[in-house]
Amino acid sequence: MALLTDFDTLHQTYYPKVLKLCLGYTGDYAQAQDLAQETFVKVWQNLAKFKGESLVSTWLYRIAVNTCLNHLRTARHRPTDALQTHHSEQIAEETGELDQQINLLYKCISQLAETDRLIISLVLEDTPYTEIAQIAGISDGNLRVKIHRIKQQLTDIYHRYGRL
Amino acid sequence: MDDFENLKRVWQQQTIRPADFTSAELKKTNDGHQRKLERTQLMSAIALLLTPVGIIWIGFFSGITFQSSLTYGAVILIALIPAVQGIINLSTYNWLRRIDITAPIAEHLSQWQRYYAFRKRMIRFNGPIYFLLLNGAFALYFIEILGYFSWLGRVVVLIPYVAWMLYAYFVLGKRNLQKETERLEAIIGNLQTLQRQLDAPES
Repeated sequence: MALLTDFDTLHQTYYPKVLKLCLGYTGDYAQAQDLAQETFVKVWQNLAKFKGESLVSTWLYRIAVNTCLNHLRTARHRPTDALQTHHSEQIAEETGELDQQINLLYKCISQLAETDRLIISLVLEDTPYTEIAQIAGISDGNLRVKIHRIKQQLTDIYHRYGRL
Repeated sequence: MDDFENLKRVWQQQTIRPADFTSAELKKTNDGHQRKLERTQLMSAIALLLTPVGIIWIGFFSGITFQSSLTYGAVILIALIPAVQGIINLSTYNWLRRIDITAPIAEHLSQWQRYYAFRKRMIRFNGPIYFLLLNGAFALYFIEILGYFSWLGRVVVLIPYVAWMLYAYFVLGKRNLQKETERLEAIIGNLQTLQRQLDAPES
């Protein structure tokens, strides 16, 4: 029964973060919802195997990121205009200005390379670098340089839209 | 990096609605790409491993007696070949089961790359070899069985059998093989692209 509570807690705590990660990756709200749902199905299926060797957040983000990347096996996703519509639908209370900024941010993220999208989504979520390195399976040093480049790229793209 | 901090503020100000599916609903779901692949391999393995049971029964326990030991040998081969294929499919199923969704990205991508490279080798060699061996076994079986038929009977049995096998191998089989190879190459290409993105030494 404790396991059930754990899963429910994980689901409640991490669903918004996972959905944002999937949104950053796909640029499409409906697809992001599907991927978030698939992520939590896998979390449920693998929860018994979680040995506590890493933080539960690291473990869960690995599942989310791998689920997103596995999605590429059948199709290569490109930024879509659908994001504008779908994403707007799920914004609950933001002002019109913030809504526009969020949509634009997602549009910019979707122009990055696939793995870069996932890494930067984790950075935007304030995930510690050491944890991101553990999620990705790359060295801290390589990750730091990578993040620096992705940040630069993202702000450049955002600048091109004349928003900053 | 003030600009980036602004972007981070925007990102963190989002309000995400709670999930429109409950955790109870999720637990009933047993789907996903990997699960479908696993199920396909498991089902075909079970079917192939059960096939020999029926064939051995027909050949040795049903009361049918053959004159030639070659025919009994053929029956054993007809039973054995699907059984071996079933074991191969079972090992493919186990391979899939070992792919760890909770592994670090780089490792997980490698696991899928190895699996798809293995699948590519399998469809290139395993399919044709299975087809040839099984038909070879049937050819041995037909030597005695067709002896009981008239010429017309032989023609009626053999022509549709040979025609179907040639069509299945050279038309359907080749077409599927090409399609499957292209699909696997595209998947492997995607995985390699992701791996390169991740491994790229940053300057």
